[in-house]
Amino acid sequence: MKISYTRSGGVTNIRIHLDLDSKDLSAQEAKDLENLIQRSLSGGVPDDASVSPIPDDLIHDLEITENGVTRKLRIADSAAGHGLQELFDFLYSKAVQRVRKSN
Amino acid sequence: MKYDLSYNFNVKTATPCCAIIPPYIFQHIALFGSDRQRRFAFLNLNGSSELRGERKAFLNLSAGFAIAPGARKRSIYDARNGMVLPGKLVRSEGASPVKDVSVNEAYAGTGRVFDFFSKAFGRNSIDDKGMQMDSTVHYRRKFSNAFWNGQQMVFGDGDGEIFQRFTGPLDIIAHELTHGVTQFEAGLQYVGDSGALNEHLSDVFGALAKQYRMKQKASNADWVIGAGLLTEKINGVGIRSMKNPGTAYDDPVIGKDMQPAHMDNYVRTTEDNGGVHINSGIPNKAFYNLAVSLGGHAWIQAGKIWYTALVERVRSDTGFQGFAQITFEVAGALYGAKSKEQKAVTKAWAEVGIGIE
Repeated sequence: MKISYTRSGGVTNIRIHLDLDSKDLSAQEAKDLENLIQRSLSGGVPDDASVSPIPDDLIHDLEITENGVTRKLRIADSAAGHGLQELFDFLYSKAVQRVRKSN
Repeated sequence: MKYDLSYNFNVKTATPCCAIIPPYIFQHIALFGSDRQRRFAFLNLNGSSELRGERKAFLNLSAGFAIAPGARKRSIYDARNGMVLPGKLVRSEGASPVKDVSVNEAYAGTGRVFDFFSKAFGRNSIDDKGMQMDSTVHYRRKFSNAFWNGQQMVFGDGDGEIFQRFTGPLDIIAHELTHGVTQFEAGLQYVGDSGALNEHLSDVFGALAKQYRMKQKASNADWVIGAGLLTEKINGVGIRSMKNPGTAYDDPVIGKDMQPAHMDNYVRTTEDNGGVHINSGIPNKAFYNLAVSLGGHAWIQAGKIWYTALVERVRSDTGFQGFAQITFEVAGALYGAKSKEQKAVTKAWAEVGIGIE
């Protein structure tokens, strides 16, 4: 499974991007990620939630490619349920880990 | 509900008359007018007396009739790294400092922003009616953002690699609180130009709250939003520069600040709610131009023009051009048609590519 994730907006509007292949994760992390995705996307997401009325809301862009099928999602943080927010927080923490390694 | 800036004075005519209104009329209004009229009179008396170096005399004079300052009402909640707002109440108004630095920063910062709006503009909290100011800290885990959710401010701890605590910089707290002010005064739509104007106003009053706190003149201030928010590992001075939009950061990890400083470089995009944090660089630069041109403390003249425009004239769909026109008219109403202040407003906007008719 390959994931492309970009976080933008927020008070800073600083874009943070992550490309991730689940093969590069430990077995436990890969399983955690799969569970997070399963939990957050199984209930469906709002159709049009890419523009937020909340000042300084974050915007998340997510692409998940698995078995040749790509799912795309753009959603404001305030429109995401707690499950999706957990997924985004996980992906953001991975992006920051990469920052740490690159420094 | 919108109020006519002119109150009893017809400032919408081609020859506004406020500049020649003698102080005793404002004093009369400050005594006997409606809340709005009294506030406007207070602003005029306060501003003109400061400019004439008569602040002390005015303070004595105003003691009998100026609007009584509202009381701060702060509540700080702790989300305990969870997602539920507001969380647990950990410090309320008048309570002693706690051990948690984020809580104390949110408490002190909110109080300072309240004081700034109160003393500079006679405003009583977010809604101008003494609204409780609620803030939540420790929202989620290493959450790297702050926002106004329509009812309260929310602050993350930062991830420690790119961002530090969002309660640290006073202008970030002021930025978020001003979103509340804008919501109550203008309801600016948070998309496209009106959204960028919304962001701009939060940056303006964020910067002014910091300058007020540091007693800085326009020429001495850094005009950087979020100084101290980025960690030392990041090559940047903050998240935006009002003095030089597009120069706040340039770093291999977070990229380059992409704010334009002129309409020639206006960014058309569907991202960021139509570029609300991007194109705000254009009016930010115009405000900086005006503040430096007028000199002195920026909240006294430039800030007063912007504040009056926000509370009296800005509507939900106001864009850059409309706002520039409003500030021109407000400057004329406050300082006189063809006054140096009004001319400075025209020049400040022209320098970013926005002409005023």
